Amino acid sequence: MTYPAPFRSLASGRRRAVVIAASASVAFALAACTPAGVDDADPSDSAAGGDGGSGGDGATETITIGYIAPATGTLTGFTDGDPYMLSVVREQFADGITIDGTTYAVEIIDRDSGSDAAKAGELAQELITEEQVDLLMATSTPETVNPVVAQCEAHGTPCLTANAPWQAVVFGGGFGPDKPLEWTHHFFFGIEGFGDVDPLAWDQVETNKKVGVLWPNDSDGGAFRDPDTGYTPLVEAHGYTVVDPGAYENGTADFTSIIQTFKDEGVEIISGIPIPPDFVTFWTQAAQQGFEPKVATVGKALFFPTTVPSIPDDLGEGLAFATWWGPTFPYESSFDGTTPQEWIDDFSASPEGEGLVWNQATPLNGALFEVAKVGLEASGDPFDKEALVAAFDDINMMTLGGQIDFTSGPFPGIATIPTAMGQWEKTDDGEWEWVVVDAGTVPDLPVDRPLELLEW
Amino acid sequence: MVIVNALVQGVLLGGLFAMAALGLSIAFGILRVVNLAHGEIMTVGAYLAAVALSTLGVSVWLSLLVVVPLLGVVGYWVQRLLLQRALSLGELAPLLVTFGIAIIIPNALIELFTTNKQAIPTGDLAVRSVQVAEGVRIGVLPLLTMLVAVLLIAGTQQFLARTRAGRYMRAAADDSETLRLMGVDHRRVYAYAMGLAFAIAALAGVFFGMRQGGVTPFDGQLLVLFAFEAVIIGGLGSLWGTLAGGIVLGVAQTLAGVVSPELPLLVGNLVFLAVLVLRPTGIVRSKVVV
Repeated sequence: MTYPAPFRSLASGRRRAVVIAASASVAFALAACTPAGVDDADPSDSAAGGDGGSGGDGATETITIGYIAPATGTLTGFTDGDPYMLSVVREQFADGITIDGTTYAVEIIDRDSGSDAAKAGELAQELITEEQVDLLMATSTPETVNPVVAQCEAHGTPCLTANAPWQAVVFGGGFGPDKPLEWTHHFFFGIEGFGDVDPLAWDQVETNKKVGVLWPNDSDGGAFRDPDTGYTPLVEAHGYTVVDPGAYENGTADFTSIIQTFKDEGVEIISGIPIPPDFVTFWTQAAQQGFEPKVATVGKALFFPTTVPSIPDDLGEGLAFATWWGPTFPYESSFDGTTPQEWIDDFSASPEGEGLVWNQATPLNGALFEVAKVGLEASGDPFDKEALVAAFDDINMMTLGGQIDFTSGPFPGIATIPTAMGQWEKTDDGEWEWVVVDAGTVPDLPVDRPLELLEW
Repeated sequence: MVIVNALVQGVLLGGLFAMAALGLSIAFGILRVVNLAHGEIMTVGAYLAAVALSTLGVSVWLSLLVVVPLLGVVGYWVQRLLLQRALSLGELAPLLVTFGIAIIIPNALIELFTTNKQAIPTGDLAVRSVQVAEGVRIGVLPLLTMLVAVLLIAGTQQFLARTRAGRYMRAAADDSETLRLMGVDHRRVYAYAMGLAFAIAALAGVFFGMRQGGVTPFDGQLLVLFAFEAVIIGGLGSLWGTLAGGIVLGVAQTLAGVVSPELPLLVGNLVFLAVLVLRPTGIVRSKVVV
């Protein structure tokens, strides 16, 4: 589930500069090289070597792990739980890790990509060549992951990434059957996480099986629209027809014509991956213009926990979405057995979690470190890059973010996680929450209640 | 009917664009400052309304009474303390200052409020609509936005034309040296103008927030490109031009949408480019100064 809106808005920031470039050409140059949202202040590097391991000359050797995530800028929603997650992880690594009887200190260097792809690539290069990290990790959207993967592949550095649709990382990064990922391991779901699970929820209710889709003109929309590897063949296999009005641009201010198309075609189901503001515009206009579908399963826009409650007039009630993590998911941390519900409780009670609502991205960011630890332990020698990459190949483990299995992925170096279907509802005391309405591909996930039709 | 509906929706969309464009037009017309942070000022306005709502429980309409003047004051001091000094460094310096502000504001908002959307609920206002003909429905909020935009433009026009402060502003835009010779502090006049621009931006931001049901730190960027385009299509510095520019842009987008959903932004941008090439002074016969 990527969220390329930031990229769009960055681009529009540039275009905005172009508009006035007629009067001031400097602005464009500036806009081009100083992306909005970049925070140049270096985030804290904190050595977690509790035993005072001091780099090369001490008695203890130190394993250096780089972690690149968008801590500022438009993608911050993916990482706002990271300060808490990193504090938990650093505590886990405080005493170092023991590999074949030798204890190594672990230093985690976290860097902020500023939600900018170019910055992510620069940081990756810096961490590889100057900090000489033994393992580099990156998370949250192809905009962060892909440039880091490219640097790792070029420099031959072990790389572990998450939280971006795997098709966007593999095919979007220029990899494929002829050019496999040599140094990178990535885990997340892809289009199948939507296309295989959405129909399971739709099957629960009576509809005319006509699905109107909102696929914007961006990399995600293009991947979903692909006639062979996209979304359409997956849902057609379940007997549904897709009505695609076309690739609208992110930031479209008026959805009148799309709504008209859906009305004319008699669409009863809405699906897609619009960015949050576009979905709110669409949904509000649909209500204004009397378009009343029976079911809506919408990705991306509903990922952020505050989108649905903010939709005017409680129109968010009953919206459904493919989800990969929640309080009832049967997962547990390999560090200490923490379950999702315990994690949410601890996060809410922690000072780092104050004022924040838990989201689904943080546990997967944390799972990166769980996988890293197990991989390092299995490698025998953490400084042997090839042994470390080979160790990841054999990983099949339970983490807080779910089962990570690199032995049976759809592509070498890729592990997919299952998804389920959640539906938003307003509780009696006016709070918003979502409940599981279909277990989808998640094994042993309890289903709270069946899918309910939208009420208009 | 589909075409008629698209036309109607386009005109109403133009109202939103025009409201967003008005503050820009004032800042440029009077101060010759291209305010790159305009969208972010709108965002701040919407945040203040959301905060007033969540902490004090006052309605959006009531919060406008505080938010709009407050940002006006902020605009006054931003001009006096930052932009005025930057102006003395050269013509481009204020542009760079506003660019910096445009980067600082969203990240400061994230620090203060996280990226979570801050709700600006208006009950069913945002989804209510009136059926005017078969297949043509007019949303109440878009209509209201249009009305407010028209009133705002008319009000600003009257203010500039008829009041002493307005005359000073026009004079400052024409020839600030002479204004100084007449014993008027042009810096204060500039600051009042920027205050006006900020206040109107805040109002536009709140209306955009109501439309979206709330506000997130980067929302300003979404609308500000259209605002710039509306200003240029309408004619730099022309107030009624912003309305005309907004409507032209809105209609271009919705009509293009009827042809194909891929087209609205493209056609909107093409119209903008065409105006820039064929009629760089804008479609409304613009007085270069307001």
